[in-house]
Amino acid sequence: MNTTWLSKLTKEGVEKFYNFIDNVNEIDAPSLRVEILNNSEVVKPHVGCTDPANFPKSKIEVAEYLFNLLKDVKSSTQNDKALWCWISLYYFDVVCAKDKHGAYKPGDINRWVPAFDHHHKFHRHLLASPWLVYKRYPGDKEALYGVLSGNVNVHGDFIEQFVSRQELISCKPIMQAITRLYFDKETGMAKKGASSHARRFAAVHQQFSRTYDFYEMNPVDILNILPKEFDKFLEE
Amino acid sequence: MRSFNYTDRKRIFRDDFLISLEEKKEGIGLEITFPQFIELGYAIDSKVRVEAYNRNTYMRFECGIVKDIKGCQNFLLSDFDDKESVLLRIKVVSNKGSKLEGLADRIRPSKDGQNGDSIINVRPAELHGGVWSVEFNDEENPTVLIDTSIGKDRLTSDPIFSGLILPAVFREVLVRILLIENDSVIIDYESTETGVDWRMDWLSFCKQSTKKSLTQDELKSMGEQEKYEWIDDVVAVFGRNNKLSTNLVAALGEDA
Repeated sequence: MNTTWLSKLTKEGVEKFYNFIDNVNEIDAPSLRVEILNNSEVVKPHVGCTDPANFPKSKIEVAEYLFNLLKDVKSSTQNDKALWCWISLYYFDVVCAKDKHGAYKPGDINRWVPAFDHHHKFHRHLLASPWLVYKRYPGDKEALYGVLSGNVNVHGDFIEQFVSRQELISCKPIMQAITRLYFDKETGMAKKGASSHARRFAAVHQQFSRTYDFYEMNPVDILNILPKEFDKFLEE
Repeated sequence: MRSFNYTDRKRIFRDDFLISLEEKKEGIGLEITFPQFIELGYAIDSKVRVEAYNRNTYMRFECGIVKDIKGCQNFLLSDFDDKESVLLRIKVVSNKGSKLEGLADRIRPSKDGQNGDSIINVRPAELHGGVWSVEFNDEENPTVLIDTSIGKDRLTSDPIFSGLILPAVFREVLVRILLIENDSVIIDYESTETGVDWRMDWLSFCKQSTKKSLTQDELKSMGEQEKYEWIDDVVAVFGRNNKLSTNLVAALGEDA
């Protein structure tokens, strides 16, 4: 069996990838994708990785897979745009959402090309963002399951509201509280209505963070101080 | 966002402590000389915590309890690459219920050892083919992002780049203050401490450098068109003071 090597796109390869995303429904995307990936002039191989056919679908599984894939790669490479461009292109077909006619819906370019330096946009990458969260709490399901619930092809309000806020994502008791509040253990997905409630949680957190030090609290204490409107998620 | 303190929290003033950062082989070294918290009225068993953070990185340090805090402590910010991006938060946390007894946030140690803060930051960022943009967030002052392929130093060193971009940046920030966040801006030149509210820092800068100021009542009574005119006026004075147009024309090789 052939091994596919985790690789980086060269500068020219990254430009080809921008062009690919910008015109994804006007070109023969599957063929061009393979063409770029097989073009040794725009791809630099690194370590072996899994076939797209076996790529997981849920954020948590994708994050775990990428964590294991990259853990032996040096840290400067881990945050390399060219590496994530290659990963995005390699898994594009299984990660990119499509409409009912089969047209690709790639959305914002930041979902495919990471902007690690951009405060408002670094967390929007569909693959790098779950990986960054997992890297903080490797294997800690209680901390990860809430924020990383759902499928990888949907950016989602949890990632948008929680991962972009340093005070939330860096606080383990808050991450655990989010899981207890919004994660449905039976379905393995977020509870109904949870996603649209994420913005409210973030707003309440910001308000309370001037009164409480959440890092010194446990998740139960955090849940106990939340306003009554959050009770409906705990009762489910 | 600026907020009122309804929480019985004691304020830790920036002048209460000394902070320095030093780049070392193993990471960035942080030294903080703490005040006598007991003399400032804090409970003896409250916990003191230091948090270092920027947009992507966070580290937290337990410094002990109030009665044991004496003089300076050293910390290694091993997760940070760039000392200019480090922001600090110092907390005094009550032993009862983890409530904040005191908080000082958004502290950016400046190069001269004072706990100062520039009114604008400049940072390289991936803009996917864009040239520049301005980023706003609650944690720090507005930041000019320059695409990584260009080099952030051009903003100050290249008269063509600065002549075209600085006035636009200045304008975008003032539009943000006067037209987008105007409902929550509280104008108080006298008693707002520098570094507490970036919007007030900008209005103070305008007053000092262009002699243009606004009162709360003036802001309230201004229509959209008047606000844009005030902004244009301030930006023009800023440009003249810094000879942006003159230098731009000279760099383009034309007669002024």
